[in-house]
Amino acid sequence: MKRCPSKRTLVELAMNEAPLDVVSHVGDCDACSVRYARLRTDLSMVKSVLTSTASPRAVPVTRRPVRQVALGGAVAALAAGIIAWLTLSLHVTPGEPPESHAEMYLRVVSATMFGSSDATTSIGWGASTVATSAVDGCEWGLLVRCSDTLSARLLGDENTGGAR
Amino acid sequence: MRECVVLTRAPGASEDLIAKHYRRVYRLCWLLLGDRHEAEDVTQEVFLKAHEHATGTIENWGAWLTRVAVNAAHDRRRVGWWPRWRRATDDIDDMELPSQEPTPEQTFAGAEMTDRIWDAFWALSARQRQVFVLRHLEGWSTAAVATSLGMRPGTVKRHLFRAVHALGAAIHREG
Repeated sequence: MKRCPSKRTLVELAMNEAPLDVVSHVGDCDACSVRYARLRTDLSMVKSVLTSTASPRAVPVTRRPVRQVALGGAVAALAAGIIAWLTLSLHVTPGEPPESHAEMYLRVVSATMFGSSDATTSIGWGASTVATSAVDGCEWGLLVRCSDTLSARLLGDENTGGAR
Repeated sequence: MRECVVLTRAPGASEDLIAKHYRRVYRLCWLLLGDRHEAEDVTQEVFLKAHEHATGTIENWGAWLTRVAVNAAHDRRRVGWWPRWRRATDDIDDMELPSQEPTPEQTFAGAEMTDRIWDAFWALSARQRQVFVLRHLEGWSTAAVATSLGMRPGTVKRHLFRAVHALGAAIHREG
């Protein structure tokens, strides 16, 4: 064997598993002899320390496998998704979006204020009065009910007005 | 409890066995598991099995105990996340502190070097630690380590080389 063996091969030699040509090379090559002697010294020192001394700490610092880190990340992402979903589902009411309510509100107000309904004129109310009372009786989030209330009031007043 | 069983049921031979091998087996389990409570459990388990086999013909008790200890430690490691979580949350009061008196080996290697080697050893992966302990400290063959740990011989060699490389780097690290 002409080429100097790798460190891995020297480790195999230290474990008595290297081929014979490696053994002969290390015996002949000064550089490899030094490398091998140093490796043997290191291994002896490690063995001496591990078998004869107390560890400075009982809790080893172990590297977390990549699998564990990935699993932790996936669990955290899933938990965050569930929390976000719950938050959104609790805070957003089902039904029409706020824009629809606004449009409906404006349409009701416009129809009330500027429309030529006979109902408003027949009862003698000003359009603004009807609109104001309609708005005062409503809450922003209940515009559907508001429009119903308005319609009912108009119809009721119409009926009432007719009775009068 | 297990210790009591072993000690009371074996007044003669088992006591000799314990006196002769307990420290070595415990240390082996500790090096393999990295947790002294787990190591104590597994060591007790090993000697309980030894007591159960006391009537059998076992020529080399040292080798038999080592093999049983390695298998038991391997099984314990496969249990799952609980032992590792428990080890990670060891209370500081339970931590094993080194003796203030330096041993001859510590004097020889130097306290700093000793700490460095221990740190590098615990920084190895569990597989690398197992392979290094069995192959280098216990002197098992590559084939025996591979069979015991359920891996290929090439994998054993790779783990061994990485462990040796990491420990050597720790020894020759500056400062």
